[in-house]
Amino acid sequence: MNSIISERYVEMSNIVKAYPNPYGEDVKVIDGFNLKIHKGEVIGVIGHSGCGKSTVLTMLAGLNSITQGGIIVDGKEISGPGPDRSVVFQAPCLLPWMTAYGNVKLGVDRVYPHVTASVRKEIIEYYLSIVGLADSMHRYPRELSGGMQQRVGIARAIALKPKVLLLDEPFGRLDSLTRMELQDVILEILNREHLTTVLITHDVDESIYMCDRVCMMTNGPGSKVGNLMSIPFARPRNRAEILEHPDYYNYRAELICFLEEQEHAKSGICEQPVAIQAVGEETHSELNSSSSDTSTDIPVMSDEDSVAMSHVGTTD
Amino acid sequence: MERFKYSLLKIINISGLTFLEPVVRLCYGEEPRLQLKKIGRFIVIPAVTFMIFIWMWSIIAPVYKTKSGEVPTPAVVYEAARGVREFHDRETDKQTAYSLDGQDREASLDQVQEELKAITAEKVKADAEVMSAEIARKAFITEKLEPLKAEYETKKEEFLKAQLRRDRALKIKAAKVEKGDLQGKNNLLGYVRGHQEQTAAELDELAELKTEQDDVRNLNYPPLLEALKFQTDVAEQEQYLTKKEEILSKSNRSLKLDEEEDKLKQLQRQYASATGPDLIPIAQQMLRVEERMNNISSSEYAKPWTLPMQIARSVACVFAGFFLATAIAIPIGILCGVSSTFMAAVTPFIALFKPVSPIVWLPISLIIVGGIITDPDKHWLMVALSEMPLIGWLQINPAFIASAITVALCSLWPTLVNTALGVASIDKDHINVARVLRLTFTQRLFKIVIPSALPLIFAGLRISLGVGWMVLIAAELLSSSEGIGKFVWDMFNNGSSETFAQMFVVVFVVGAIGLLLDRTMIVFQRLVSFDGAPAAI
Repeated sequence: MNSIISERYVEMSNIVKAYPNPYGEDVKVIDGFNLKIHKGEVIGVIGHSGCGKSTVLTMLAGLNSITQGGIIVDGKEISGPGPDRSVVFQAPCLLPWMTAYGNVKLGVDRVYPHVTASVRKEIIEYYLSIVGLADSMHRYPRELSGGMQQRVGIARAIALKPKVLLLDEPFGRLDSLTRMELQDVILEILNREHLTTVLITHDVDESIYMCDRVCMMTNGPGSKVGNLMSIPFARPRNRAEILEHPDYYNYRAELICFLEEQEHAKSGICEQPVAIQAVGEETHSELNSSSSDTSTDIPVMSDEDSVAMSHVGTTD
Repeated sequence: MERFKYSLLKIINISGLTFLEPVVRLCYGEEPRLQLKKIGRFIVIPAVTFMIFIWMWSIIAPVYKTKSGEVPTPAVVYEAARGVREFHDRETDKQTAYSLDGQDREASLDQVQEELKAITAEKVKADAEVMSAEIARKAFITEKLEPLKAEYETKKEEFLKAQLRRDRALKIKAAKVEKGDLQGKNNLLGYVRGHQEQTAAELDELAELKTEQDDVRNLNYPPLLEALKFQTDVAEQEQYLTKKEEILSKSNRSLKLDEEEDKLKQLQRQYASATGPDLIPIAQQMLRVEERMNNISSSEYAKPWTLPMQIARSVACVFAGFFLATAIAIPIGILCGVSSTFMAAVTPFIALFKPVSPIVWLPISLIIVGGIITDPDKHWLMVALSEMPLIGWLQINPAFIASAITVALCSLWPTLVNTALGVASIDKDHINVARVLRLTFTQRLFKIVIPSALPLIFAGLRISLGVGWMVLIAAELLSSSEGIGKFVWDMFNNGSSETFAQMFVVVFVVGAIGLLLDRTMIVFQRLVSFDGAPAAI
């Protein structure tokens, strides 16, 4: 494999997304977004609600037009959506008149047009079984729980053998137990398939647990990449080990600091160095004081939702 | 047992017969108090209301008198319904009698003759009953009339005397008035006026008494009515039996065939013995007889249209129109939903033609169909339809087609609008899925667009069928296409009290069939609704 292409498997350069504003200049929601993604890497995109994370993802998926700049995937510039960039949406988006099997089949039939029906059946059953739905593949979405529906959505996306797997806050609507389960399901699949993956999230712990790199976005309008952070934990990862890893809280602190800094962007700057130096018990207790526990839920976000809502109309 | 209960409940839910649900639950002993309460609300109360309706109808109806007799009471309507049914049964019976042959025919003939004998006895009895009832009625009327007559005579005499008395008094008063007595003259004028008013009032009173007598004379005497009804029934039965006997013994198909065969055999003998130029006329005759035999063997009894047959024809017509409407409305509706340009192009037509009444469409389509099918007996379509096995007996004619087209033109709009709405309001997420998978247009149409619009399409179809059924009756009435509408029109033109009641029968028939059609569509609608949301009832 060509190493340059491998290093820049996905390249997003100078992306601008502008929406027309009838009362003045166009509103640039995204302005100068640059990101290179390596082949087989899992990259997280984190930022406040309404900062344009989803907009970036839908542009990469081709579902949303790009105002300026371009996106190259595997050496080709993208135009429009396609099965090589499959998406797992926040809502499962299953077709309610088809069974789980039918929903996956719809995509498989499209991507594997030249194989026999029995091979396709095997493929469909394989992907449904690796997301743990071997027993309920002939049920309709209304008969499945939210978590199971999202599993079908994941199976549908990976069954397409995409070049890039796009996960748009796939666990956003799930309770925290189901969320952890599904995080493991996806990690297991990624360990096996080595898919290049973009994960949109606003959950700090989730991004550390799942990603090789985290891309932090500045607040909109005109948001761009604020910082990039590598998380070189070895794969396969184990949740308990990572939680106990000494670097874990460094990464966490850096992320939270960035997010807080974004929140107070106008008033002042977070004392990042302090946070980084303050490793171990101190940071731990500090974090505990701001979050009720060390689970995957991040209360940092919860208060900003109402503020961020003002951007939602233009970005999502 | 439990599983059976749940599948039963599911069937009830899908068929929309939800009022049965508490009954099933009660049978399984589930919360008896609650179920009884529900039964009370959804079964007992509607039943009671219906009873009240029937009761009020039976009280109010006879009050109003029309030129076709009294407005029929429920009992009369029930009788009329029975009459309609009996007419149908008898005609079907005659039809069978026509095609019986061999032993069956003889057995049937024997039976009819037996019945005829019995009915003759019945007839004598009925006549006697009528006679005695008439005498009884006369006595009954006379008895009521006597006091009225006596009162009338007394009053008349009394009034006459009073008038004479007043006359005389006036004359005396007039004689007393002097030439210049203005006051006296004025008074006299007052007396004369009073006299005239009094006389007019007396005359009115007498007239009233007279009307009272007439009312008594026209009074219904139930025993006589019953006797007359019995007499009519017997006479009808006799007529029917006589006709059946005639069919079985004379005009039966097999009998006619036998007759012709005899002729043919005779001719064949002649043909065998003849020579030379004599052969030709005999051969010609033989061919004629053979042709006649062919005609007879394919002939049927000329059965008149009965209400059940007309109902079947109406239902066939409404479905013909409905399917035509569906075939037009769904594709156009889908195009409207998919393309806003197409929608813009079609909107003026929808807006313009939707409010047009069936009364306008019908004559237009009658003329157009009449222009295409100028000679219904020879046109290939009519011939093909009349020879089809299941629908041949419906005698599809241009009037039927015009009615169906009218139904289609009036009923396609709800389906069209609903389909367009359903297609246009597809979930954006589902469209995104289609875009990511890069589905082709046809795949998108059949895998995403149509399934997702299906519940709304069916809601539209349900409204369309209801509209079509209403339109059809009017269309048939105007186009004289055999069916329920034609039945109503014939009954209206007949103008007797019996046919008046039969029109009421039609009200219930049309209502019941409309209800049935609607229920069927609800079932379909529920079967296609993927989200399991209950359809509105």
